[in-house]
Amino acid sequence: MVTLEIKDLIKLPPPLNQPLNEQQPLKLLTDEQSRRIDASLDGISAIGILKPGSQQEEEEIVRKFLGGIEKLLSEENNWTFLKPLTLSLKYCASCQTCSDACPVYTASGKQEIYRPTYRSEILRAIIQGYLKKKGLFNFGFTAKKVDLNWSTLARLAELSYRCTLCRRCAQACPLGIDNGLIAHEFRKVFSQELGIAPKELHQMGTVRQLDTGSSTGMRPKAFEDIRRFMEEEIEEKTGKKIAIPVDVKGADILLVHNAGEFVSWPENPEAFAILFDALGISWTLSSELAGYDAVNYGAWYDDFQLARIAMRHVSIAKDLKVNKIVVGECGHAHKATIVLADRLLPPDLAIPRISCLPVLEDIVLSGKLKLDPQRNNFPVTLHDPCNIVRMMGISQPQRRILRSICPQFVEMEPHGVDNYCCGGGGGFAVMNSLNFPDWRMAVAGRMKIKQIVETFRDTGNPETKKYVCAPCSNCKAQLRDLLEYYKVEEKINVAYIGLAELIVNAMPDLKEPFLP
Amino acid sequence: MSGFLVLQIINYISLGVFVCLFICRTISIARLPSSLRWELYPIPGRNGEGREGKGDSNRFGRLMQELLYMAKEILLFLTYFKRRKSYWYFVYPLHISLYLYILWTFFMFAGALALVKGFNITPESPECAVVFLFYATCYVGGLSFLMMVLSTAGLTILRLVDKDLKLYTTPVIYFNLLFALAISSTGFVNWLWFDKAFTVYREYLKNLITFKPVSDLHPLMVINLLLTSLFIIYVPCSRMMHFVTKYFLYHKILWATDHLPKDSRQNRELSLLLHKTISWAAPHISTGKTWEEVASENRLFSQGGSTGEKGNKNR
Ligand code: SF4
Ligand code: SF4
Repeated sequence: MVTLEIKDLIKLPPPLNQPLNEQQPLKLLTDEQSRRIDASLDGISAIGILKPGSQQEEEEIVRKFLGGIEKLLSEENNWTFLKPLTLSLKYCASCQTCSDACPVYTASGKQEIYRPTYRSEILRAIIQGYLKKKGLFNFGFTAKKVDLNWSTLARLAELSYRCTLCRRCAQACPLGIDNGLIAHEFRKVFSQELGIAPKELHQMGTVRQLDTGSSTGMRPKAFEDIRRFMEEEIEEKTGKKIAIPVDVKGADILLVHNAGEFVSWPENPEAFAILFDALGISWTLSSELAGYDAVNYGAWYDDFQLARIAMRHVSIAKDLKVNKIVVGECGHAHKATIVLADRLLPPDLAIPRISCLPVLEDIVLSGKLKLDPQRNNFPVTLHDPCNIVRMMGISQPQRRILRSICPQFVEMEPHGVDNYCCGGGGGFAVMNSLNFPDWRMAVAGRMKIKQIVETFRDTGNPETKKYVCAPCSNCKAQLRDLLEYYKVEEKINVAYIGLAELIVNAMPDLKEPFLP
Repeated sequence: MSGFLVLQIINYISLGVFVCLFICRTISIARLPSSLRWELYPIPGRNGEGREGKGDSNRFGRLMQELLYMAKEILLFLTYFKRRKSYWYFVYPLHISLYLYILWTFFMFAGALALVKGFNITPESPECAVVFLFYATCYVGGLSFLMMVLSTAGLTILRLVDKDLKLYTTPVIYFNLLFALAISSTGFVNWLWFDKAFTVYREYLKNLITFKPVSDLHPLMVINLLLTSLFIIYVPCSRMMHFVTKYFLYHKILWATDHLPKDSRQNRELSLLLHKTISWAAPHISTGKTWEEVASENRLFSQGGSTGEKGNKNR
């Protein structure tokens, strides 16, 4: 349908504005992959949809898909999102005001297939063309016609993974229509009816988490090893001997981190331990399966996996008899555990679930902890994770913290609820199959990298180390890949960091700087 | 039965059908089950901090901010103004013309009632209110028709020439615009050439109110009245109901951050839905079980130990 070329994408500011021939081209699938996998949407494959073996198989998939759409529109199967979905499908005014708000559509140089309304129009056309009885309003009168066959479905499945679910489009819509939700609902039909989902989200994601305890594959034994390692590292870095509490019954707080932190950025959970210890907070981690991994990839593609994991997290908290769950620096875990789970949990699991950001703010602004902002005297900007900020409205605690501990704090534009997604939203940050990472870097993350470079344009010497503070694990993973892909660290010395680490770095009694 | 009587009957029926359809549609939207929380910020009155942060201002303060936001949207179409000005130039006057049309209808009914009471709606009337009604009806009605003609024609042309809009404009959108254009242009021409003071129109309304037949009407007015009747039946069946759905989308979804009260109707309905059998067919979903059963498969039961130890049974 579309052949993406770097020259069509929006231009980047210096020093990323190399001549075209020096920019990395988008990777194509290999010949062998192309023979097996359908990538006819845009040459990219996120899911690796295998081509069907027979005509019969093709027809079966189409039939099942239509059955799935019917279920999507039924109360008992999809009460979870039926209301916003129905209203979004029926009452869009087709004014296209939402298009320019979409970072994917804009960054791609306005490729039609990435327009927020494109998917929605297809869903409308499928419903009207294939599910509704024929009538006056159904002879090409209300929607364009779509030819539903296996190829269309394969493209649609891929297309549902060209949206980061950042919901910037919904924010821009004067009528409150949510095209991000429609992408989400498409994903659900593929997963819940056809069993089609990116393997990083399903097999290696939610299934592995429920099975082994974490989408990282970390089992309780490995978690225990990491806990000990973190205690040693804290002692090495700070001279403090801190016991990281695990499975403490009756603690005030059950702290749940994205397990990616333990694996890739242990300094973040270490920072939490240092801060909670310093303030004498009663807290614990859990070593139960999934209790030490806050992620819930179900939020992106499957309501049942979402509910299973949310219920597991909260039932662990109940078992430990804690007063509340505090979700660590992970955006989608915030939304899944605190917001989405709200109407899913049975009454016996109604345990308070809160964000770590106001908790960190209380620690910093309480005055109980001595902090020296001069230790953070370098340029710092803040990335607003969509799930925490646009979708939960938590935008100020992190700013008040940074303003008090980082003298050179500078805002990105736009910021707060208007921020751009890092490009790793909707599960993209963990999706690394085939040539999808290339698309994730070149298109999905383009607006973000542009924004970061522009933010630091006036901060003087390119050699000065600068930080993008991202209080979200997945955003950090995406930023790590973006900074590397565009060689931003090399060119203007930008690194990324979590929020808790910056707070600990400002503690004057540390022997060494805490930041890596 | 005279043709005029048929027209009058159509007028009555259309009004009745509109009311019924409007109520049914609104109830059916309201009765859609509450979704999972799906809020989106900024929410007026939250000072940029959601309920999960610390900025949950008091209920009254929030309500006031929400009303202020809505008023700005309804009266100025600010989102369109900020984000898509080319569209705002047409869509804003179109909606203002609709507001004026509603106001004009109100004046017309007031005038018709005054006629019934024996007042003469003329500029020479000794009653100030009557004089006001006379002029207000003339100007508000004329202006409404004129603005509607220009904006619907403009929007139709914009949709034909703007590449983005053209691609996504379905025949029904053109139909809606042309329908409104037909009503407004017949209304406008009728006003301009035949009934500047809406005297005939008012007389006709008086007859409708008092259930008296009419004996004579200009063909243009007949067409205008007929189209108007059809249009008001059509509105609740069309996307034009967005003035209602917007309320639900904002107040019940995008701005709805509260927990559902335990004893609320919505909560009771959700409990019922959780106990209904689902039919999703992917291998990891146990078809035939209830929503709650599928969702609880991996939860930890305090007394019964961890079901998770046995792993995820539904891969
Ligand atoms: S979703 Fe909203 S902004 Fe986008 S085309 Fe539809 S009505 Fe317009
Ligand atoms: S949710 Fe975000 S990425 Fe998806 S269509 Fe909307 S603006 Fe674009």
